Amino acid sequence: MATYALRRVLVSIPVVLASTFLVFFFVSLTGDPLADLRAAPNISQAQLDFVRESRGLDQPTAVQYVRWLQSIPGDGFGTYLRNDNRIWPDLQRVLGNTLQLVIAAEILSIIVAITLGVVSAKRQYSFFDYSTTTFSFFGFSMPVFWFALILQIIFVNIFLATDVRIFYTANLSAPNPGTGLAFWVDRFRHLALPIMTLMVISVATYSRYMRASMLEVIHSDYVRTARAKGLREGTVTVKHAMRNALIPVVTITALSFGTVLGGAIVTETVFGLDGMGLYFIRYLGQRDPYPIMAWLLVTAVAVVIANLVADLLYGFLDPRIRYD
Amino acid sequence: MTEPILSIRDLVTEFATPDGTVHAVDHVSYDVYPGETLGVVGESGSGKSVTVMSVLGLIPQPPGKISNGEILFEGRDLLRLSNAQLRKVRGKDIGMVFQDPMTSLNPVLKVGHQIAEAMQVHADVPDDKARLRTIELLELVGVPNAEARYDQYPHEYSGGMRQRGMIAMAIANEPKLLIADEPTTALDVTIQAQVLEVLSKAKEETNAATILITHDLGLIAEMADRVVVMYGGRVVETGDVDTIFHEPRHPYTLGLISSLPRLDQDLERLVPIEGQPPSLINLPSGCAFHPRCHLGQGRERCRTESPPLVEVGTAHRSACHFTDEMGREIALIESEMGTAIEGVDQ
Ligand SMILES: Nc1ncnc2c1ncn2[C@@H]1O[C@H](COP(=O)(O)OP(=O)(O)OP(=O)(O)O)[C@@H](O)[C@H]1O
Ligand code: SF4
Ligand SMILES: [Mg+2]
Repeated sequence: MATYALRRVLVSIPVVLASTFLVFFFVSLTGDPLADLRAAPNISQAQLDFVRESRGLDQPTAVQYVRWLQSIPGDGFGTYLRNDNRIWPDLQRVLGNTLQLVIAAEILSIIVAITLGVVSAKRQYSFFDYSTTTFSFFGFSMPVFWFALILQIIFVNIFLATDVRIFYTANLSAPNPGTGLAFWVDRFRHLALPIMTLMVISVATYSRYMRASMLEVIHSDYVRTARAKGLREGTVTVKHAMRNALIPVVTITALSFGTVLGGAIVTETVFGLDGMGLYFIRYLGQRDPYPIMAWLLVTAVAVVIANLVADLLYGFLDPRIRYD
Repeated sequence: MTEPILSIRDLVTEFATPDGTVHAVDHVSYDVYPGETLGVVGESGSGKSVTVMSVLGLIPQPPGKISNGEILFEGRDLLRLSNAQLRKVRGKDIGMVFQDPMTSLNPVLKVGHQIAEAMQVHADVPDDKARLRTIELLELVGVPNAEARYDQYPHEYSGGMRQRGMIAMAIANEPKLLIADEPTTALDVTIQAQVLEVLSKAKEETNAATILITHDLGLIAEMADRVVVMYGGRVVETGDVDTIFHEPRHPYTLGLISSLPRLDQDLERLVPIEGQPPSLINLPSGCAFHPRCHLGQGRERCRTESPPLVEVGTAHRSACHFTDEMGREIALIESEMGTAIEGVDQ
């Protein structure tokens, strides 16, 4: 299995490289990265020339790309185009914040969705089943920003009406969040609404998968065998049915985890969270290729890791899969 | 005669489907006596499986519904037991071997564990003891290398081996009744004989009464003491295996026997039963077999009046209005086929 993992990592290196090159190429197509700088009133031609030359912006795109690539091992991701601040510390910070948001949202979603899916399947066509189906349709069709705004309005109104602050509607932390437990309590009260926002679509999706997968398994011969042995219905469901039904669902959640890491752009924007999504949007607006490239590399690596984890989990859950 | 261990009385099991109600089991009664092997035959869809699934409470409800009857096991009506009480019967007093060994074992659990689990759910057996006992069982059913096989998953077993594993699971608690629902149908012909041997051995070992469901009359001749013939969700004939083969008193049974391929006959002279199995949603009126019956010839009584299952000899019952004409019918078929009936190897 270790060899398999290693091989998978090696295979994904060219994939990541190719995707960074493509993006580098497209970003450079979007126009002159110095346009904004040029428009600034108090900048001299000499300064512009200096930036262009030191960054190699007069070179062909391929050469620029190789320069960028070469700089990564020694130089981290270098500095921003407009100033000498380093990119990597910023990226680490926003990645950490997004990880907190996404991990919490995904874990909660998985727990809720599996429960909903299993119960819906066990009671197919019951009131409960129809309710979750309806909820899922809402979850799919509701625009994320709209739901986020509704949540904000509700909790602001609660605050205005009762003067009780349950959850905050913006930012990651209070100005003085304190330390230790107090810090994390404060962080949770800030992240609760963004987590809920992210959960709506995830729960809607995962619970549908879980329900379908569970329905298939529930009617299988081996579940009947388990029942014929005299096992309790709970054991039959959890040990014999769920274990099998989880296999496809785990793969889906692991894969989507990689994708969300790129940032829940809408959610982070609405709630003003200093995360990957907001970071990306900010520097895309500034047409600064360097932070964008750094962001992309991190996201691509996250997707590759998520894929790998999905595969390994699959093999862990399903003994029929062999890695060789 | 001794008391039956299992007595199915007037069982009705139905399924609600979009096309209408499927009358899968329609007032079925039969008994199983201690230590005997009861063969249940009938075409596909005649309700053989649904009957035994009803015994174990394995009918999915909905769409299924047991709307009438009682199932007396050692005098207790299984249909009136609570779920908890029924669970204690399943797998402990009644063991079951299913048709398709490829899908009947859980693919993500080790075979040994699945067998040990059957034991541990009914008795407080520590893991190491359960393991040893499971390995013994695997050896008994002829799984070579049982020690190592314990830790393998179903996909590492062949079809025949899996069915041996299923048999081991079914007899793990030395049940009083063993139900084998077409245990060899899904297997290669060469494997079938071996698995049957294992089944006989398992039966000897536990001395369990056995219900053997099959399409294969040859198998019945070889293994069964008594026979139940089912058609369209009803029992049409029951009797000792000798009586059924030599003096069938129902045209459908006779049809099944005459369609048995035999080595001493040309295949061309086989007499298959003409026509299709009946629709269980719209069962033919009167005797359900009448559209296909050679003896009935579309007589009025056959079309309008459902024949009850009545005594036609010692422990021999048939559901046909014209059982007394069966002698002539047998003679007729015999003259067409040579020594059709007497030739059946007992
Ligand atoms: N879950 C179900 N829903 C609807 N109909 C069902 C269900 N289970 C069984 N039936 C119907 O009940 C009838 C009897 O089925 P059963 O499985 O008892 O036949 P069988 O005699 O065992 O046939 P086979 O030899 O093919 O196993 C069939 O027509 C089948 O379609
Ligand atoms: S009752 Fe009539 S149709 Fe039915 S089996 Fe007897 S003769 Fe045939
Ligand atoms: Mg069947």
